[in-house]
Amino acid sequence: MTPETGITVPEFESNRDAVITIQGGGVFGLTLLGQLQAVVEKHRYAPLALAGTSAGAIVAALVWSGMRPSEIRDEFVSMVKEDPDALVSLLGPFPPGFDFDAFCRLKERAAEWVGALDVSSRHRPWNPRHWLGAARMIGGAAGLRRKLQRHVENRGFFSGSQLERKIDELLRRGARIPAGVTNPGELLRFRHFAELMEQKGEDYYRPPLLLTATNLTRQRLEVISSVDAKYMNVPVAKAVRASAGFPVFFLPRELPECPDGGWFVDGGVVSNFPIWAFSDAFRYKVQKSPIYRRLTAKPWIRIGLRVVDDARPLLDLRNSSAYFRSLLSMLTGNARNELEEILSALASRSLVVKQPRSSTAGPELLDIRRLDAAKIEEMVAKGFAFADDYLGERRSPGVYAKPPAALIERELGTLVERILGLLKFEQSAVKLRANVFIPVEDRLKLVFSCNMDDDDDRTMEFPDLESGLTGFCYSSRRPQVCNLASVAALRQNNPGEYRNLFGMDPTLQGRVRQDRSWLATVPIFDPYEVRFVQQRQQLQNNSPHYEGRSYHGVEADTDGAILGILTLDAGWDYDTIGLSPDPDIHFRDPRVEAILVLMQTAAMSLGKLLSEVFPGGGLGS
Amino acid sequence: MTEKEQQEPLFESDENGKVTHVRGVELPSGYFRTLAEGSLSDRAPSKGSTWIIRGAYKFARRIQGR
Repeated sequence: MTPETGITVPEFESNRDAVITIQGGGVFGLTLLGQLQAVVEKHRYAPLALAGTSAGAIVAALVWSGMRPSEIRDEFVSMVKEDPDALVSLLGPFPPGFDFDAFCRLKERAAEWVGALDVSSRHRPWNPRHWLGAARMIGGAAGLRRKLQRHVENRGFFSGSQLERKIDELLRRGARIPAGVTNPGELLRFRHFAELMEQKGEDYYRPPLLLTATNLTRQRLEVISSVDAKYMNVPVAKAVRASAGFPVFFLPRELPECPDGGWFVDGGVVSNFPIWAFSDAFRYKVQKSPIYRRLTAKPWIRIGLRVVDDARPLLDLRNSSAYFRSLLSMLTGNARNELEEILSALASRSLVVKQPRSSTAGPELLDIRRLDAAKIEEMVAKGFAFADDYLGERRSPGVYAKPPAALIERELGTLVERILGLLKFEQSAVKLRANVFIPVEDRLKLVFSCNMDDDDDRTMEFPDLESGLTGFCYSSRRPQVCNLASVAALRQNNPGEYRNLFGMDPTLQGRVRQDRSWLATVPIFDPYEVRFVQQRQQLQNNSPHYEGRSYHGVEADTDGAILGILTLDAGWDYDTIGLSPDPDIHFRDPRVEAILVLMQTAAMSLGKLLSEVFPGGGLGS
Repeated sequence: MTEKEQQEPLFESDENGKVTHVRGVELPSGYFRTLAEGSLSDRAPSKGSTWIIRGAYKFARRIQGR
């Protein structure tokens, strides 16, 4: 609790806003589901956005629809309890005479063929085993060719249409989609979700969802995004099926609804762990979204959920077969994994759960026959336990550090002293007060302060992130200056215009100490997520939006996520100190400029004090 | 939102199913930009979009099982 405000500090300190990336991994999707359950259901991380590849795309999309991870687990468990072959049948429909067991027999035949190749190559030509192996290899190849020809023509074994339908069914259930939203037989598209959000508001809110899939036609990775209008007509279940389309196991999925169309296979072909999708570029993309741009100012933790190979012993490459095995392993995915490990380490403010495959109790990557109810529960539980331990050891870090209130308030006191000293103001003449407002979910709360004494506004809390000059500073992410005396006059003389000025509730405005005549607000940018921008041109183009009779938005060359708003108010007489009362003029006064510079410097220090230190990029690097 | 805007469908598509218009405004080919809320800059102060943030936490609480 801060001594001055009486507000319980943990309210903002418990902020665990997160963007969550779930990697691909076949049956290990169940382990990843368990990890996600620990992250959101136990450790209370709030998913502001989700990304996934392959099995991770299935998990991400179902959670995005509104299903809790534990509900998804229960759904899978009840499916296999009802029908032990339920998961296998999701791969279908199967062509006549073919099912998953036939596929497994093919796998066994292929394994025999490789074995014969190995026997043949390990023996010299004068050894009969060489020729026996070769004969088996040739015979096996002919048989395999006959069996495989149809699948080669189809470019894979399983259509996965049933999976697509099942995902659509679960999306509808998770999102409580009313009847009649789609035409009969039509899959839900991203635009259906966007339209429901638009019509029904917050109850139908869905966070940004990013699914990666490999466009083989265009030879590139696509991030199919619920934030991006060009993907609005893509059916969500189809995008999930495309992302999860392990090549050859599944047939490729055509997505003509994507901007350039194309045949898609598993996103994991290019990137199995797309944590990079939440790079700075994502925040700027969100800024451009008419729906989501209010999320832009939110700081977040990047959480990654992974199942990784166990550490292997060093290979002795003097052995030629070990050499080629190692090379093949790099060319078939390990090089990608290595690069993703490097990219993941660069993600700032990140927590990446990396669970070794041996601790998952899972079968082989695609062996869904082994998934009965007990196995599903076991794999989810193993994922839960691993992520729970990982986060527990780190004490479930949040966005904010837990700085002593006295430290922040000393910083505010230093700011006030510097301003008084630099500008030769007497505190008795200008009566400076400084505060820090912190966004707590959808409100702005005054948490730290200096010189507030017993003033009525020392526990000020805005009901949204947009009201008042503090809310304007938050939503515009730029400093603002305001003549509070003219605001008070406007309130008295022209209530209609006053209401349109800041949308501030009159009773809230009434709590502001009456002798306040000037207010400046400066964003406390998140040191992990701040960048320099060229705003001058943009400001000029949009100047009508920033200028008002009583306030002025000040040019700024920084932008990013916001940890809080630093405010400074004064009770000065404009005539006495020789300052124009017009904010459009006085923002250029060297004294006001100096105050803003000092405030921005203080905001940087405050940002550092308020931020939890994470390893990896940013502060912890 | 104006009455005219309310009458406009949020998205329109061509015969191939690609979105071509957002709220009656044609998308520049191959790109997406801020459209549905008119010409407001992404840093302009605005009112009335707090529901997005409320919705975000409502969603989070639902997923957390709260």
